[in-house]
Amino acid sequence: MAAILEARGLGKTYTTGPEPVVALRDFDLAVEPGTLTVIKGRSGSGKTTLLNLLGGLDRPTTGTVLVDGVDIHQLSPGELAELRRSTVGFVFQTFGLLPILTAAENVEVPMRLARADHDLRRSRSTALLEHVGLGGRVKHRPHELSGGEQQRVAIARALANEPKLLLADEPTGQLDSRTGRTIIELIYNVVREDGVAAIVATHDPAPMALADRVIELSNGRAIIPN
Amino acid sequence: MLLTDLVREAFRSLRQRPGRAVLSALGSVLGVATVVAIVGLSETASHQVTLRFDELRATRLVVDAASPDEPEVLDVADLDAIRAVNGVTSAARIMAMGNRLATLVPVHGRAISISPSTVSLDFQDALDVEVLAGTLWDGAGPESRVAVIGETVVRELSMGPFVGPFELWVDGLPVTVTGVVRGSGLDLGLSGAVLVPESQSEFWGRPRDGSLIVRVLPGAGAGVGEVLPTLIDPTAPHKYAALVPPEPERLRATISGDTRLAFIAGSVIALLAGAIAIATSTLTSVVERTEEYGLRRALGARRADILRMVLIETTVLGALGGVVGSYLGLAGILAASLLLDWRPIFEPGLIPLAIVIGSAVGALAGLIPAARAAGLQPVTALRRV
Ligand SMILES: Nc1ncnc2c1ncn2[C@@H]1O[C@H](COP(=O)(O)OP(=O)(O)O)[C@@H](O)[C@H]1O
Ligand SMILES: [Mg+2]
Repeated sequence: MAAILEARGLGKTYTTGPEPVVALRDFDLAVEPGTLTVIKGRSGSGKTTLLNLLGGLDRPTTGTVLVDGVDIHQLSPGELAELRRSTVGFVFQTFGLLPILTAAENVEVPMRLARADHDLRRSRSTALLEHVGLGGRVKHRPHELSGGEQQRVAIARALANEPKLLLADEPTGQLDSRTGRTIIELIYNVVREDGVAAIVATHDPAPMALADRVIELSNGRAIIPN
Repeated sequence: MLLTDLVREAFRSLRQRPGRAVLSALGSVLGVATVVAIVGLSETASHQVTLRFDELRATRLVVDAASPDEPEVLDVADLDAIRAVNGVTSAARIMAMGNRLATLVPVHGRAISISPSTVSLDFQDALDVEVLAGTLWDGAGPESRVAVIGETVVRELSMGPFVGPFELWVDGLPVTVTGVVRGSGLDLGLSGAVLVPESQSEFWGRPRDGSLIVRVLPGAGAGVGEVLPTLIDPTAPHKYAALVPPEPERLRATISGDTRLAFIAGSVIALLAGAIAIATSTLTSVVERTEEYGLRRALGARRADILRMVLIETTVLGALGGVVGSYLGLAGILAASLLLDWRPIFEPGLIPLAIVIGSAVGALAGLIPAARAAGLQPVTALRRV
């Protein structure tokens, strides 16, 4: 099957500090739809850097990222925003929910950015929250939800615009191992049922068993490429 | 995103930090309140002049020498004959005497120059005199030297507020001041006046100028004005003329011309201060919310979405400030009118206008913070999550 995402010779050097930091070098990856890829590695190994480059949040120093065959770092800022809005879904370690919005409204944020109309948003956010097992929490605010529940809302939000790519940066980092496992299972189901390609950065061993591919990063280098 | 969604979200995010929202809105509240109060009060004041003026214009005549080149001391022996004319309600003679020096103590006191005027009985009505403190001298016999004085004279004497009758020394003789008066009539600024009874005119010397003030029933002015000169001097009917006070347009223009510029400057400064208050506190809130903007960018928000979000928040703040400010300004107009005994004039169009002004101030104030929020790089902003 054709890769939905391809990285070739990807590298990133941060020059903001007093000394340049090579956070990622010579990274190659091809990901097919409906697969789960786990990026493992210690803190500081370059996982976040990699996901930011793959999702179009940051620009690489070297190499290219192709999403659906398009080099995303050739896109204009507006086109990049469009890519993040419609093709990529992000999940963060700290959930990143907006505290003033209800669960459903948080899920609706990407749909609102895509200018979906109100009724469609409502029905889709309700369906998504049901899908992640939060049918009864539609009107709850983030602070009224447990960590696991908040991460489920974040996953529902990441799926709002039916992305082809799900990028999760340590999604279980703030959760106990049991709750973490249910989150990984949820992502796994999304991969299997919806054909989404998921890339999960983690240092949690639990997801490895479900992964189609595990890549370990060390000092910005892939040490066991599959 | 739809505008209604954006506005609703702006309200919620303002409610999230109510203290900051109140503080930032305070600037536009005060700015708009100042504008509303200033516009309303200038409106009220100019109407006040007009109302008062129209009233006087319709009911008062001043009879003076017809030719200013030949000042003639008006000599009216028979005020009662004038009072008997149909439509006349009161009539008084006022004669300006020569300037004199007056002191508060018999000898060696600090002297001020006074311009006494003798007035006939009935002067309170005819001159429209208001007694601010003390009394008129009605009870005093024709032999006693008495006077009432205007507010400027009180100030010049530097004697503090009037607490009771006191002596003013003129040429080594005491004159009892029984009260402080103000002329409600606009053209007779009595504030520098020293009014004394006609019966004492010998003490005060020779008159330099004299006029006759006649109050008439509304509408009777023209008719009375025609007969008065003949009645005063049947042998020379053109010697005197009955005048009505000057054109109201000029008075009104003077009031607005003098004050409008200061009013506009005051409003602009107040609004600018309001805008700066909103801008500063919004800049702080943009810094605090950096990660939220990064998150929204990661979820696919365009720069324009962030820009609009911040602008709508400050505009909503400005508009809320406008609503509260316009009512505060209205309260100011009412309070000032109550204090000055004016009839408050409030243009209802001022409230929507104030809200529009408040929103404009908010939008203007939001420009810099919004540009800063929209300029954040998503990845830098997200790092802080
Ligand atoms: N904005 C930045 N400026 C400078 N160095 C950075 C920046 N972001 C990350 N780094 C460095 O890059 C390396 C990889 O970081 P990161 O991608 O966050 O690793 P991980 O997510 O695996 O913990 C680290 O050494 C980190 O200190
Ligand atoms: Mg990381």
